Amino acid sequence: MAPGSPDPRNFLPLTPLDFQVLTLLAAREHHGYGIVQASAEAFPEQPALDLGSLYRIISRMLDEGLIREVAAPAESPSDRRVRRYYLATRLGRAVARAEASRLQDLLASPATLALLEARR
Amino acid sequence: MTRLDVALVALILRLFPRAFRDRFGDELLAAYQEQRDALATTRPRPGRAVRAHALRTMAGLLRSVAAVHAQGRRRRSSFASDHRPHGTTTMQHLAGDLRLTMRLLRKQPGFAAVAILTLALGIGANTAVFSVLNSVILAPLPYDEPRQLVRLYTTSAEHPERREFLTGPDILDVREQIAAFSSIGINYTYREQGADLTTRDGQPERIRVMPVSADYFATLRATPLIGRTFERAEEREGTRRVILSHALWTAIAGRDPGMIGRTIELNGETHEVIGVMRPTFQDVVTGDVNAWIPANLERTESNQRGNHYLTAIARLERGITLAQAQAQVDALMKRLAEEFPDSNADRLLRVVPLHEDVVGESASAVYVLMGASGLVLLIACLNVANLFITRAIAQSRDTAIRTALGAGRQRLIGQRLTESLVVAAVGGAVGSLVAWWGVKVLLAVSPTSLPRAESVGFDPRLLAFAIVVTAVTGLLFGAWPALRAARADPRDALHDGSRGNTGGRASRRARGALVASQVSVSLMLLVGAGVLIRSFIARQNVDLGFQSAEVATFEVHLPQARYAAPESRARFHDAYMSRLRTLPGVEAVAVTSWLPANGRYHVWGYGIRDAAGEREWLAAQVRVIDGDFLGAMRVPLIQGRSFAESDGLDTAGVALISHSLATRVYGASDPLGQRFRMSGRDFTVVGVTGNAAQDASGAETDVVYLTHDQFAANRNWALTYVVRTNGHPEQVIAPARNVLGELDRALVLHQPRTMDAVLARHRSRERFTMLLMGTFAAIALSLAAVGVYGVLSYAVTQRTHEMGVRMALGAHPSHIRSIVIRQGLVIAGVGMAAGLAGALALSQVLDSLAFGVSPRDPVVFVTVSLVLAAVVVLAAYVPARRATRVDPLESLRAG
Repeated sequence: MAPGSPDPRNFLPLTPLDFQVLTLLAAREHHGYGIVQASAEAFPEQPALDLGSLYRIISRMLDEGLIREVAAPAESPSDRRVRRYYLATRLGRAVARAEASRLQDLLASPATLALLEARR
Repeated sequence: MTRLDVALVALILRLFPRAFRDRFGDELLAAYQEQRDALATTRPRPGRAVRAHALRTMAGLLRSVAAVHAQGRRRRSSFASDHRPHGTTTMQHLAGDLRLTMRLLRKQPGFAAVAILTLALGIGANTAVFSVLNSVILAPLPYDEPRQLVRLYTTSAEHPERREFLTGPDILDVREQIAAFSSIGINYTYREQGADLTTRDGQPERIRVMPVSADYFATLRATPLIGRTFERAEEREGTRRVILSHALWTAIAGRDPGMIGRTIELNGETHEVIGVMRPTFQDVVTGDVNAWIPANLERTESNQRGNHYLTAIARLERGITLAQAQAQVDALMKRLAEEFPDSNADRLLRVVPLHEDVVGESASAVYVLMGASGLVLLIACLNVANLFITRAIAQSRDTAIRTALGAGRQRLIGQRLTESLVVAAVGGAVGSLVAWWGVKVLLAVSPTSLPRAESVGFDPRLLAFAIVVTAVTGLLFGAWPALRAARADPRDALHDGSRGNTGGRASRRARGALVASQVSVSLMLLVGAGVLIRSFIARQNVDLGFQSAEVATFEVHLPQARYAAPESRARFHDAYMSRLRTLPGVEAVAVTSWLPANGRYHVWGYGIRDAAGEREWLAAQVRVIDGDFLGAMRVPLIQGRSFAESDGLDTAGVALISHSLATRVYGASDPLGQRFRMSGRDFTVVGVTGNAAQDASGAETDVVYLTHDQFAANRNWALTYVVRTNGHPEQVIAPARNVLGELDRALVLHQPRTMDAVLARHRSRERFTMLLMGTFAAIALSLAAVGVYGVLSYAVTQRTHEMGVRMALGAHPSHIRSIVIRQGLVIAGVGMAAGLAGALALSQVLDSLAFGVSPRDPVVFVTVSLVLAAVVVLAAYVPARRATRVDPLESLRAG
């Protein structure tokens, strides 16, 4: 982390939808509808991402410097539709990682494990 | 479902801050549509998936509005936090205003309901009518580059207003010699071009077949779904090839692509299917067509320069203007007139933009209706403004107290504006329901009266437009009382309020003026409705020269393959007519090649010798009849005799002529026994009939009647049966069909209708315009009545004290009543005077719609004024009665 950058932990915890978006954009660039598609594919059991919420999240993450707009990948179809591509910034990736490890810690805690154990 | 959802999403987007919209709006809408398109292919239930997607997106957006606003604020406040010392934000103010508005509106549900319903009516009516206007008149034709398309008509220097069909040689010369047209589609729209399609079970079915030239589809830039279209080499007699419409392909072949190359039976002749058109293809001139066959455009004897039967739609070459094309056509027609003086002297071709040709006649009616619905919206806005002013006055104490306690002017104004906007928004939402329903009603009422009615749809863009109009109006009328209230010195209002007398003269006058404007606009609408109603009645009562009641009509077409000999066709019709005559309830039976009052048809040359013995050709419309036509239609025989059994194929040609033709051609001399030439044969006039009108508005025309017994050889006439009954024309159809089946199992009784229904169809546009105008006038009248009532009941409440004093001093209740009613009549009188002046000024817009009555008809003006005055008195009477019930003691004590 470069000196002077915000601490990723300041952004935690993320909402489930924020986490989905940031995780997907940490892996590769997507356009808006692409994020929705990828989210349905990657997180089928999670709360569905709708376009109305998506752009609120994109707008905020752009403001917060978690993601940035990037040029469309070379192989993307060039039709008349307005398509902008987004990718997580270095900070964004750090935040997503921090959230993932936070969730991992949470799930690895004895209390959670006991809860999951009790369900069986 | 198709565009409404996108419009709604776009509408919700308006709630977001501008920066957000600019940044993401287009992108979001594009992504939304992309996702929707993807979902539309899900199986099963794509509709459900698409709807769920729409709802989810809208819900997500609505949830996001506040967060995005807050985010924008955070961003701004990091730079300029010192600008908001109190820490309250516009959004918080707005939220507070909204809460206050909701509370106020909940406390006054009556006020809210009246205001919202009023606006909903105005917005709904406007949006519905504008949807019709939009799709019928403003929308382009459903073809590629529609502005390049023109239609060609034959006309003459003498009668430039006439639009006749084209002759084969003329249009072929145009096609070969005029460079201004990149292509020309020629078609044969005459109605004989139905055909009996024999389906697999052997039952014949009547379908519409249109002969077209090879370039017809290319001119409209229509390509086939499968197969091919026609070629020039196929434009000749005996080409047995056919292109199917998508609907017919679906019906007879279940969309089997293997249908290409197979054959179907049309009129008993085998035709090879060479193509199927796309489902979206439609011909805006002729409407539904089931199949296309090649038109015979050979320059043969039957295709003479005197035979007008073709329609042509041309596409202008790129960069060529209408005037340039017309100039080229004019030059050609001049050459033709010199080359063929017998036929082409005085003949012109006119180039008309296709769009104008298709919508021309109904445009004026739709524009008048649009204007009328605009007036309804205006009245609605006036009404709501009035409600707001009344309420602002009632709340002036409350406002004064808030001002005294230090509420800023901006906040007070903001609060009022929020109120108007909330009411306008809800009114718009309810109005969209009204519009959605209204479009359905319009289409149900006017299935045949508007061109392109099938393309009318609910257009969300118009709804957005109506909402904007309402919001602007709401702001305008919300702002005035708001500014007044905010400017007022709180001390005055508080003092004023203590006397229980609020409002003041200025606002009383303002409200009076608003109601007077409503009355005046209502009067204009009522005059319009009155003129249209009288026109409609005049049309109904017009003497058509025949009697339509109790007459049934239907068509029977004899397939050429089995009825090739003219004698066989004449024999069949004679046999069928004599069988029909024996049916119970039948009084007279006849056939005709074209029903009266059904438009111009078969205008042929009527050749006479002038004084110098030179042949002179006049125009007359030909009707081929048989049986007791005059008796069945009740057209009187004025002179001479009707056709007789003895007038057969082997006897000399005889004819009946209409009285108008007799007068025009023979003047004072006796028409009986006069000889004339028509279609290459000589005829003798044996009788003169009354004038049967050419259209439903009673226009006279010159008619020649020939008997089918003598004229069957001219062509295979498509004959319409007319059966006069003694009461129930519709009941004769079933037995007539049975008898037809007994004579020839393969024949179809086509288009059974009563003669009254034929006429009603021609009057349907007038009926539609009248109904709609009447509805608008009724809405306007009730809104005006509500306005008068509102102002007067408020005045009565305000003057309770005064009324009490008057009663205590011995005033008679009738006197009190008359004071209140007089006040109403003064307001209404001013409004009516303005309305009458306005109606006179606007009367010329009704010129094209009025029939048999002047748009300045005094009867209409007087009647309408009386009706309006009566309604005003009625609306004033209720508050007037309440004024007389004032208990003097109580009102004095309260004061």
